[in-house]
Formats: sequence, structure tokens, C-alpha cells
Amino acid sequence: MRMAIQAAVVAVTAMVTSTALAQNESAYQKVAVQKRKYVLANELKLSVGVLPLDPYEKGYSASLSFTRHFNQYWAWEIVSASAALLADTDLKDQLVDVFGQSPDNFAAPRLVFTTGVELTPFYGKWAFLNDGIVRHSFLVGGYAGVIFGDREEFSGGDGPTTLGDVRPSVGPGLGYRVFLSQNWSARLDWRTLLSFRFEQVPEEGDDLDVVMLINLSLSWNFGADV
Amino acid sequence: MKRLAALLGAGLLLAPASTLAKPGDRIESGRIIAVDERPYRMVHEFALSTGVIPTDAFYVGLSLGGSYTLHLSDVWAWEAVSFHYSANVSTDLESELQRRFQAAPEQDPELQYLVGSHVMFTPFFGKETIFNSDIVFQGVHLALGGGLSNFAGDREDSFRPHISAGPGLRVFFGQVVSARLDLRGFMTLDDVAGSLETDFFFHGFLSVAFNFGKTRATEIGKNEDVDPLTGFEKLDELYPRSNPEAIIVDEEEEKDE
Repeated sequence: MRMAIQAAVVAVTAMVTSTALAQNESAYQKVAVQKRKYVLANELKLSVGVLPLDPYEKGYSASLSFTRHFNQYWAWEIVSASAALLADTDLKDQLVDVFGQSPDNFAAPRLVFTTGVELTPFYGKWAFLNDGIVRHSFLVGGYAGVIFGDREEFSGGDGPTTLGDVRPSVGPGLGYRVFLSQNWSARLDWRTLLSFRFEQVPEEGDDLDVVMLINLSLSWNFGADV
Repeated sequence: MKRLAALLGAGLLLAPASTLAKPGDRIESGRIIAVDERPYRMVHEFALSTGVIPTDAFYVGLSLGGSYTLHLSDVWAWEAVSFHYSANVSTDLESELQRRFQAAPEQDPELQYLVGSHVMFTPFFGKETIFNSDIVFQGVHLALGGGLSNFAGDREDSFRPHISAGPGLRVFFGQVVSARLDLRGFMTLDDVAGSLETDFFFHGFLSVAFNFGKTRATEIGKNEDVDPLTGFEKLDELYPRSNPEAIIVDEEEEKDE
């Protein structure tokens, strides 16, 4: 009788233990909630880009910006400064050479300074050929600032100057970020700014330009509490 | 009491080894590796598209078209045919040239439509959280192919061969419906007075895609049902005990009768 009781205690203990552990396993298998691997705080961004829309001059830009991230969603790009190197199109060459127009009449964007608010609603990861994992995010932004039009004189001089041709600008943007590590990420940004262009010479008149800026960037993230 | 404690200890030891934590598990506690199956599977894809073709500074094409894509695997697909018609809208550059510079430019032939075929490579597949709440599944593909572009103007109506390539993003709404955003660069070849000239333009388009079918062309014949016949059926008729199910069936049939 005693042997039977002893055997029963051993059997029940083993069964209860294994059942409890099995339940824990199944609970883990059902839901996997992951924390974000990378946290952004202070972002310093160096970019190269293009300004493709102007029919007379195409711009190739270099930019530097600083962004403060408040949380996973909201960030403030405190300042973004871009300078463009401009290349004449065939159309501008023809207008200058054949129609005798002054190069000063075109004045594509030369300098761009903006500040903006960014919202990052999308964060995720992609499997690369079912093997490696790439973490990334999509963001939308609203930006405002000033654009300086390219003039023959940069500052000073009798005619319109670059620093005198100030164009208030505002517009939306889209961005895509690929995380390379906690400190480094790559970004592709597409911004479209409506630029109010005031008359600088009598024939020009006031105008409204659409300035598109496409940037590829390398971002350095620092100061995050991870 | 000591004996009872010993028995409880023995019970713990006898619990199945697979359900007990190992020393390594304790270190990894809380870390979960979750491997997800792809929830959606593309087979035959029909897409309707609308987009923009900023061909040159004088006009912008607003495109309308469609495509059929045969998916060979999760990674490779063949966009067998695509067609995009371009409704061209003049920019204000011509009037601006007239107004500001009193210049009237000559118009080149304008793009009318594109016909092409592409290979699609989808190396990226993943999921994205929206505000840490909902999840959307996505794939990123690259397309490479070629075809013909039709250009027409006052004095010319010609086909130009082109090669095209570019990336695309697909967002899945379900097994049947998905949305695609594609950006493709086109390089056309044109015979101008005996010499070949190249031209380059972009086409960005947004598509709604409808996916049909279950078995891909590369899988036909691979998932055939296993033949249940053993070859000993005749033997079972002679010696029913070798097949217990056969005995039950025979007994029921006898009762019915």
C-alpha cells in the first residue's frame, strides 16, 4: 500500500510539473512583442542631392542638418542648410546664346535653409532573401524656410544679389530611413517646397516656384539612452 | 516528512527532460525568436495603374495602364506584359518662354504609350508597424526589362526601343488585393539622321493589384496527392485481417443487408 502511495506521489508531481512548463511554452509561442532595436535622439545628417525641376538650371546639392528626436514618433529638424551647384540646361544655353538673355534672369535656388517637424508613423523590418534583416522607418514632414536665388552677384553690387533674393518657402516631405546600427543610418528624403519669388528685376514679376529637393543622407545618431 | 520531500524531488527529476529549463535557457530568458511564415502568396497578378511621366520640360504625361505578372516564386516573377498610355499635359514653360523671352521653341514628338516586359526580383519582404499598433506587410522589388515606346508629333510617328529598370514597393491589403508603387527609368534609342541618340525619362506609377490562383507555374506537379494504394489490396480481399478497416466495412455492410 505504501509503495502504491509513493508511486502515485511521484507520478502526480511529474505530471503537474511537465504540464505547467508546457503551458508556459505555448504562451510564449503565441505572441512575440519586440522593442525597437534602435532609438534616435540627436541626429546630425550629411546629404547629397539634386534639385531637378528647374527647366533652366539643374542643381546638385550638399546639405547639413540637425534633428532632435522627442520620442519614437515626433522629431524637430531644427535646421537644414543646403547649397546647390548649378548646371545650365541646353534650354538656358540657347536662351542666353541665341536670344541674348542675361544669365541673371533665371536664378535657380542656390541656398536653402529650412526647419521642420517630422512624424515617423511607420517602423518595421524586412527580411533580405529570407536571411538578413533590415530595420527601417518611413517619415513625413512639414518644412518651412527661405531659399536664396542664384544671382551673378552674391552680396553687394548694383543689381539683384543672391543674398538679396530671399524667397519664403514651405512644403511637405517624405523620408525613408534604413538603420545601419544604433549610431548610423541612411536616409532618402524627398521634399517639395512652394517658393514665393518676389520680383528682382522689372521684367520678372512675382512668381511661385515649385522646388523639389531629393537627398541621400548619412545620419549620425548620438546621445540616446539605450 | 523527509521521505515525502525525497519523493517530490524524484518526481521533478522524472518530469520529461524536454520541458525542463536548461542552464542556457536561464541566461536567454525573455528572448524569443519568432519565425513567421509569409502570410500572402502571389501567383497570377493583374494590376491597374495610374502615374506620371515627367518626360521633358514642355509636357508631363499622365499615365493610365495595366500589367499581368506571373509569380514564379516568392523572389522571382515575370511581368509578362505591361501597357501604359500617356495623356500629355503642357507645362507653362512654352508660354513662359513666350512671355519672358519672346521665344517660341520647336516641339519634339511626344510620348504616346509604352509597351514592355520585365523580370521582377523581390529580395525584401517584411512588416511594418503603424504607430506601434497595426501591422502592414510589404515587399520591395526591382524590375528590369525592355519594350517599345511610341512617340508622335506633327511630322513623325515612330516606335523607339527602350530598356527600363527601377524599384517598387508593394503593400498587401490581403491575399487578393495589394497596392504597388513603382519608379522606373527608361532609356530610349532613336535613329536621328542615321545616328543613334539616347533619351532618358522616368515613369512613376501607383497600381492596384489583384492576385489570383494558388499553384505557381513552377510548382505544378510537385504537390500531387500520394497514391494510397499499397499494391496488396488483392491480398486483403483474400486475407481481410491484414487490413482492419476492410473488416469493419464488411461487418457494417453485412448489418445493412
